[in-house]
Amino acid sequence: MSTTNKKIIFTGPVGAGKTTAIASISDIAIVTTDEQASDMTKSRKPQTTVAMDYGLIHLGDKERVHLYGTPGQERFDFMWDILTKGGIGLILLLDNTRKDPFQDMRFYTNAFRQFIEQQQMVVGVTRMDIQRSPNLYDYRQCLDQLAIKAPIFEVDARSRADITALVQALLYSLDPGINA
Amino acid sequence: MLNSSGNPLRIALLSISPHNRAILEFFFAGAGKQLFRVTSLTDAETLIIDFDHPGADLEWQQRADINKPGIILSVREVQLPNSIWVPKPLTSQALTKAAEQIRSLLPQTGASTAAPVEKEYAPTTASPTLNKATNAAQPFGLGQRKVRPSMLLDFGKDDADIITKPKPAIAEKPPLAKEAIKHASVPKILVRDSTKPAAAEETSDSFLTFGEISTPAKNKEQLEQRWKLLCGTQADVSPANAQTTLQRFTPDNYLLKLLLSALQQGKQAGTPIQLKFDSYDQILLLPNLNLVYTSFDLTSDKFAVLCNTPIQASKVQLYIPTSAELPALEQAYRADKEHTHDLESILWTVTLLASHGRLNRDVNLSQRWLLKHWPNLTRVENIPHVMRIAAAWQQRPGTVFDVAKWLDIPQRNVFAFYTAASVLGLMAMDEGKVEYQEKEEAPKKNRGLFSRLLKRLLGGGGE
Repeated sequence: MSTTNKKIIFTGPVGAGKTTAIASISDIAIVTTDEQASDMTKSRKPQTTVAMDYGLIHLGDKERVHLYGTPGQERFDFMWDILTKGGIGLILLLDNTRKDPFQDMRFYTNAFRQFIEQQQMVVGVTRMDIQRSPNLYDYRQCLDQLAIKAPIFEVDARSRADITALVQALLYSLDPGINA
Repeated sequence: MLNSSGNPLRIALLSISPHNRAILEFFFAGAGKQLFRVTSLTDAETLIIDFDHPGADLEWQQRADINKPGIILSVREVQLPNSIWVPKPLTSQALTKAAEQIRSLLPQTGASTAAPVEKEYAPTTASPTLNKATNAAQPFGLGQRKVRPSMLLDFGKDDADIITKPKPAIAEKPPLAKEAIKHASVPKILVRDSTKPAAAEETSDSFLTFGEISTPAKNKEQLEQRWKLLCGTQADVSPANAQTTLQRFTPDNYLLKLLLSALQQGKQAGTPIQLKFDSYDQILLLPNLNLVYTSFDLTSDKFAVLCNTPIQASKVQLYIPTSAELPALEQAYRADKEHTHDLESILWTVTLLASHGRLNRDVNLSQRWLLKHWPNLTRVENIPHVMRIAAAWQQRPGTVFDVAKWLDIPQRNVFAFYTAASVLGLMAMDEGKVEYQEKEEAPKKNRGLFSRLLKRLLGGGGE
């Protein structure tokens, strides 16, 4: 019997909380780096550094939702289109304490533009309790400038409720007819 | 992209970050399987090198004598002999194009002359070879994971593997923000009882976390009671008869109006502003910080009555704190996180309590509306179907009755949402200038899975 696999991508700058967010809703302890290499690379060395954070949500025996976090420090290095293949949506986490979070928003929405247009993005802004400005109104203006419609919430990446809300918003944006 | 022998191009990865190396290797093992195969330097026909990686240029120079062409990855254009530049961010299309180009540089290909180095990289449509590979439903391509599971899975295929070596989560701990707390000169009513330790300060990893207006429900019955306060109990009406049968309300009669007026004054003056009540309660608006500090328990019956009962303006005093008072107030609200709230969340709750599931008397019932932006649903109080209403109303314009009909939900929930979102400036009139297309095909295909995922995340309950 085949298994259905879906994938949600978490992206954003380093320190925005991607790893923590995935951990907050994953069924498994998050997989970070230095995992076993694939069969192919095993011939070269037994271990390789895996680029992404990884989590998993089991939906019974036959359905899984995989949670991938992009390496935030590799802003210009990532193979965005390859990463998003098979993805159902993008969760962009922004750190409100960074110097220019709007630049981060522009960068990531541009990098994932095609995927966002095909699927859906939701935005979570972290650390707003530490740094109140910019506020959500400012972020909404930025989304308008980018001509992107996306839910944007203040989140605490450690909060399962907050990250669940982001996933909820993502799924309902894809299909408001879902019944939960 | 096959070489002259019909096999994938044999490549060696030189200077490249561990992240990119891993990504490329996984790509080459899956979707790019027919394009490239990673081998040792000795066996490689061509090299891939990341010129943004420290020491890459030096390594390239050192490898020059082995005379193997290279694919150079870089954010900046790099022109070197016997190489192809591929700009970052990398794409599968760019790699396909590079594979085509590099083949002409291989001595084994039989090409009469090596192609000149590209001056400028021009992405092209993916070749049939790549499309075939890409469409093989193996985006991460690890179809042969029988021996050992990988975190990168073969989507759409039977997948019995599980992750066997998970690492513990790495929790991110934000810096601790401790505020000096002095109660002197702070209005008594706002001073926390010093005999009761602040909840936020008790936690070791506490940083400034403001009070959430979460529904104080411990069980379903309490939740329903709260939702009755926020959304009322009004039964659905026929849109045709709504003008005469629908219950409406006039915001000017309620605390909501006073709050909005005070907020406007505070914004214009660029200063905090206080609303002082006969009961010695008070609300301090901090427009510049989008915060509200109040002595009220926002989920209490007392506050509900204050919001949903017509109020006389004379019962509330507007007060602009002097510059001498501001430092003490600032200390108070910074220290007393439990009573400090996000401005939007308090406006949302005050509006819902005043509206009680009714529409503003001035609302045109036949007007189609569109949600410009979602409310901050992680910080505003929850009401039934709030996510579905937001999602539906952002996707296409409709009247308040349309939305209730689309979602097959009680009208009062839509009325409540509309009223609160309007106060926050999140609704816009539809002028009929834009055509809206629904994402219908794919979502319906996944509806069952999405539903199960939501139930899983929400612990089996509803919204």
